[in-house]
Amino acid sequence: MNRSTVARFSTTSMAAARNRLPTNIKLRRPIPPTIDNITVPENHPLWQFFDNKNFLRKPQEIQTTGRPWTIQELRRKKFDDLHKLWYVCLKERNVLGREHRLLESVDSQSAIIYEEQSEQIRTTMWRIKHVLRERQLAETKSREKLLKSSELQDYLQDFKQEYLDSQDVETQEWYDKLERLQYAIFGIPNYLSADTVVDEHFLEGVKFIGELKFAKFSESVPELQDLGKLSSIVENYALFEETSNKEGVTLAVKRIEEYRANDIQIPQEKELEVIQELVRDRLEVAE
Amino acid sequence: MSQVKSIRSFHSSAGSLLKRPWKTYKDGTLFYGESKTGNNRVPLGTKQGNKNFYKGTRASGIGRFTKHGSYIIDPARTRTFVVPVTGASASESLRPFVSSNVPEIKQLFQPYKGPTDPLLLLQRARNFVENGKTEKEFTHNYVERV
Repeated sequence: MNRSTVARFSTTSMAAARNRLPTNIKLRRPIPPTIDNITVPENHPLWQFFDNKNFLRKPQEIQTTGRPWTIQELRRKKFDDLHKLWYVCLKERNVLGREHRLLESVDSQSAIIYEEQSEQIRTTMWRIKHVLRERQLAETKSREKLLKSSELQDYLQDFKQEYLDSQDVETQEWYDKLERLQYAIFGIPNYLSADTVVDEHFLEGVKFIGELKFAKFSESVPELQDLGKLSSIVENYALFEETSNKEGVTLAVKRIEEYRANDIQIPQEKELEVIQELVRDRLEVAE
Repeated sequence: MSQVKSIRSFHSSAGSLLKRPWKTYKDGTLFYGESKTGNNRVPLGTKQGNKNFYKGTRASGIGRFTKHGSYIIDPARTRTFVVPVTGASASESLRPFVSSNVPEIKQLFQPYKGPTDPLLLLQRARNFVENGKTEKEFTHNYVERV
């Protein structure tokens, strides 16, 4: 080995070590690792596996008087609550499972109670799944059968007749009713957001509301009557978007006149794309 | 070596360990086990089944290999869990158990076929449009008309 390189190497490393370590260092006995030297933060995520930070609940402490949630009770809960309940159950099962595992090798007879409680929670959990599956099934079924059905068309016809017959529709009651109708039947929320699904039902809703307002206000707003028939989805959308009173309709008429000045024809298959574009523009303006 | 010999001592020879199950002792009993075909009531493995048989949890395939052999995980393809906030207030109202004193309600769907009947959904939507959010009515013996 070349001596000069070793010498040069060792001097630099020793100089570096001198800088790193203080020279007056005192040796002491090694500190043995004990549990007392470890502090666990209060909000450590693994605490979720413990009940109230107890290592092990006694079998007598386990509450056995409750019963699982019934399907009927769960049907009355909204999705967010079911989601929360699922996680509450899951965490409780984790705690019970841990305690059961600890005790079963020592005292298998008294460990049974943890498992029994866990099974009861499992019942609640499959019932949550059952209710969610039921809701999904109800939605798909109604999408298939209801949207084209005569029952729905009859109802919409009834609603339209009631709206047209009403003396004064410029009331809060009717504004709310229209909002609820477009939400419950066509799935159009009160306030548009990025999550809003714009599909053919949305399109149908826009058409229905647009024509409803057109039929109602064509007598009281003469400008609207001068337009003749609504010939494009953009015109329906303008009426749909504005408030359902005379001022709102007058604003919509101005928009329709501007649109007609451009003289654009929209084929039927492009209608959905146009609506999606309009909604996107509206969201961008809102931002 | 001597230990091995002592373990094998109950066999006639080392070669008898290699005997196949269809080889029997002189009295006709099997060398080991209950049947010649063995236990076939075990779960299928990756080597069994036909070409469509997939043994796995589909937990893999969440990224791609680089040309150097390392693996890059694509966060868009990993499994994520949306965990709700179940803080002190939420856990007070929602517990895994219901008190046994709470009566179990029944629900009546007539004249509709059941909870998934589309016409029931229409009726409820109608009710919502007319009246907004309303509480459902209960009869005296905890039967709820949905």
